[in-house]
Formats: sequence, C-alpha cells, structure tokens
Amino acid sequence: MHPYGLSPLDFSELDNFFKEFDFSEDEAHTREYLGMVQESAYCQQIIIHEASSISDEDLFGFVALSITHEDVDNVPGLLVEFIYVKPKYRKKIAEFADTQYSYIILDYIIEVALKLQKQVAINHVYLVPVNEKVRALYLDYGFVNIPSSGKNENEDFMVFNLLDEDPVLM
Amino acid sequence: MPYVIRNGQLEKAKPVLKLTPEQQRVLRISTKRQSAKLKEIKAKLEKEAS
Repeated sequence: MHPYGLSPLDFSELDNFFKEFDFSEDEAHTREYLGMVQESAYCQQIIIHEASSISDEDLFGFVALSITHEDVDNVPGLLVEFIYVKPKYRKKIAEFADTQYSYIILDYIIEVALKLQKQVAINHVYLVPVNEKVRALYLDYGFVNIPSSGKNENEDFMVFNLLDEDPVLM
Repeated sequence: MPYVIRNGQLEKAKPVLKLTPEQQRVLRISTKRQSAKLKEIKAKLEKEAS
C-alpha cells in the first residue's frame, strides 16, 4: 500500500474538500485561478483529484483534470487544468516517497492517462504552466514545450507523450 | 482551457489551431526522459495489478 493516496472526488464531496484548504498564503492570481477552478469543478467541467499523505492524513494538494477540446488542434489528450500543492509542501521532498510532492502528483497524472489510454486511445498529456517557475519543474519531469504554440514563449503548451515510439514508423 | 498570467492579468491560454510540422514532431516522438518515465510508471502499475 502507498504511503500516499490520490483519487478523484465526487461532485458531492467538493464543499467539504475545499474547506480543508486555506489559500490566503497564495498570490492574488493564484487565488483568482483557484476560484475559477472551483467554479469549473462545481459545473463538472473538470474533475478534482485529491492528494494526501496517509501517514499524517494531511491533504498536500490536488489536481484538476479534463479532456482537451479544441485546445491543441483537436489532437485529443488529458488536459491538466491546474495543479495545487500547499505552500508548505512546495519544492519539498516527501520522505515517504523520496520525491517532491509535485512529482507524486505528476506521476499520478501519467498513471491516470495510461489507464485512460487503454480505454479511449488518448496519447498525450497537455498543460500550460501558469508561470516560468513551474515550467522549469514540468521540463525537469519530462514534459516538453510545443514550440510557438502560445501567444508568446512563456505561454507555450507543454506535452508528455504516452507512446514510446512514433506510431507512423511502427 | 488553462489560464496564464499575461500583463498582470489572468487570461485564457491561446488554443493551438493548426500544428506546424515542428509541433507535430514534438507530439509524435517521445523523449528519452518520457520513455524512461513511462517504463517506470507502467512497471509500477503492473506490480500493483499483480
């Protein structure tokens, strides 16, 4: 059994879930974004997946997921709308997993995508970092920039390919 | 649709309307790091399933 748990939340669980967070330490833009994330979750346009440590039963963050619409030239994929890690856990190593808390969430996202891939043939995970600091983190994990895809280079989409090899060459 | 901070404001990210050949290449070919990560996570999933 993992020392941590990540799982999707039902619509009915959202009220209690968001009460567990205090966003007052976050920047104004982040709080504004979080407001939109919550609204989208209540409208069931995204699914919130909670992330918690089993040992101390503390929520350390969450991720908001959806499926792409027209976002990347109609190439379907799992879209990471938002990743939130509580301020006290940011850039910190989770001793129970020997990796950063952010990476635990990213591993989970790839797991979700691989499971989906077997059902609906999506081959990509996409995201757009909200700023350059987090872009560096995603690059380090393995995401790559889709060049010139944003309004400027700071807004480029990033992708993680789920196919090991180019299917055209197979 | 994800958002970005543009000129101090939270704005919707611009959708990619027509992929260029270079962008298509990025979507087709996995990097070594991606392949290694996929291998690691698939192994973990298989272990959990067994």
